[in-house]
Amino acid sequence: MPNDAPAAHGNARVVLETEGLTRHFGHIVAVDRLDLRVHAGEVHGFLGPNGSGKSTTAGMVLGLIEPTAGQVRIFGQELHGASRELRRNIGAIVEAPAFYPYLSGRDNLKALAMAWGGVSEGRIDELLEQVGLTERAGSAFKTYSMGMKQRLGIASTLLTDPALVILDEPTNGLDPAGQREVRELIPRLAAEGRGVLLASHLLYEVQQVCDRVTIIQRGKVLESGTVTGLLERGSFIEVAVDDLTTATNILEALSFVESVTRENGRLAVAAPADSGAAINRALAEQGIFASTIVPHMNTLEDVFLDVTEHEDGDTQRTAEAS
Amino acid sequence: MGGLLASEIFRLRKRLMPYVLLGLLLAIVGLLYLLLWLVVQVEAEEGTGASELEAVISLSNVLGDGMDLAYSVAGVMAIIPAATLVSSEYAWGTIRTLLPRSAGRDAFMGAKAIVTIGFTLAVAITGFVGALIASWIVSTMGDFSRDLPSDFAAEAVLAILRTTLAMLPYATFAFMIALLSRSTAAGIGVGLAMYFLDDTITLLLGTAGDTGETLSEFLIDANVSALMAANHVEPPGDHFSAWRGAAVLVFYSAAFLAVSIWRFRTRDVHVN
Repeated sequence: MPNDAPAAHGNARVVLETEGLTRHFGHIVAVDRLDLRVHAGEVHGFLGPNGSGKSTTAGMVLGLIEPTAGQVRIFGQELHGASRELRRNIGAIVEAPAFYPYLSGRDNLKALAMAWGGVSEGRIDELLEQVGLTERAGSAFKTYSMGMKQRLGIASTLLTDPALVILDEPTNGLDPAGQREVRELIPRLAAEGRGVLLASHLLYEVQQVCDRVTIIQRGKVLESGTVTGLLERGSFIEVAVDDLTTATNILEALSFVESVTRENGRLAVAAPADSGAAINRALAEQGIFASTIVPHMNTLEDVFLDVTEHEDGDTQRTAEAS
Repeated sequence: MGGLLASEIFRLRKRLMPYVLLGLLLAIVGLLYLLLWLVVQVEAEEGTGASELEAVISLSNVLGDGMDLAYSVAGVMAIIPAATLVSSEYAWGTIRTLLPRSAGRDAFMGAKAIVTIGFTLAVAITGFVGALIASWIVSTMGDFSRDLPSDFAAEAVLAILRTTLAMLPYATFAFMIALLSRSTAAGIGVGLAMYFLDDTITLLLGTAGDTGETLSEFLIDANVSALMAANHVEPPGDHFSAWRGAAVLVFYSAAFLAVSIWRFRTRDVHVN
């Protein structure tokens, strides 16, 4: 179990909290008043196009980059000037796994363990085993494939048994089997009580493993919420009936239906994805029988592109107006 | 800082570069002695009489001339690892792996500063060992003076410490430049340029009137000369006190390290 692990996921502690986090580089605002919360036991996706401020945010959370304004709190304690014990609670791979090329995988972990303190030799072997690097633990890091480097990166992240894990593109360079292993590992980390902040461009990967996501662009939060909530937004149930006008009236009267629109001779009903049966029953009770009831779920990719392109359009219009 | 220091030493021990540099130092010092011995032999055959060089390479002068000879090569061997110690962390990106969970930025730099000083001491010891072995061999072959003072061990320790201190400002300067520029090449290049040009600058400044002469006495080279002169039984040239030289060199070394630590304290460590 990680240090200071919470008792239960339902009443989870906030592991990481940023408030008004801002970073300027000259005139460029890399991160703009970012509010972010990662709870213990949660995998939090951190999404954004290249240059959106994800790495700068991670750098500020790790204490590598000084914020221009705002705060980073770990377990409610201000990170700036925080104790070593508190900082040991953050494990991270940012950008790419970086290790000493002339040292073996085991010696790299040993060197880090020495520097950070409080890590047993047994823990190193255990982690090497966990990420499948035991056989190549004695080989120099510079001889490792990208996938092996990622595995060593994950092992180093867990070395101090941290309560917050930041993973930036953790499946980058891994073969399909390796990607699946990492995708299975991430929820396990959260299940052990850790908070996981996952930055990835692979949106299907994020959709599979994340509980919540935050989408940023140009350093600003565009959307934040549960994956389920975001996916439901914009999702609809397609209903095909003969009498569109009567069916529209019936469905609009239902409390769980947000809206009903006509598209290509069918109805697009904005309602929860699992309400197909209720819609069918309501129509049948009024003597209207649907030939098709198909839920259309958004993917995270749809949501991401919609949100970021919408923001792009707004920005362009603002620029043109000014 | 103990953990960071242990980690630094562990990584340095596992690296090939320090062994190569120390081996090169031994080889070059040995080669220099061999060349000087050959010159002495040629002079003897030509009947030009006992050369001053004979005294320079004899075992009895190992602490004075021998350490001067070793110093002329050893400085390079101290500058290279001092520069790479910090800039390699940027080049490999390991700074972003190591720093966040370590004992803090001051401790991080403190450990590197201690290793820099420690390795400079190792270079001075290796230079002394090289000079000792080479001077013993050539003195035995040439039947030169092999008289050593009764307090040789204590004098040897002092000579090693003086040589360490003489190299330290150059090593810490290279360390500072490498940190400021985040470049190994810049650290080594500028460090070596200073090491080799310092005596020329000191000489030129010394000829520029009283003010120039006074200023030149505060440059590193003038103080290195004053300190290294104390290794000789009969100090060559006209130098001011070795203690003053040591104080100025300590000041320079501390200043270069202080600038490095101060700059690193507030600097962003970019992750891109």
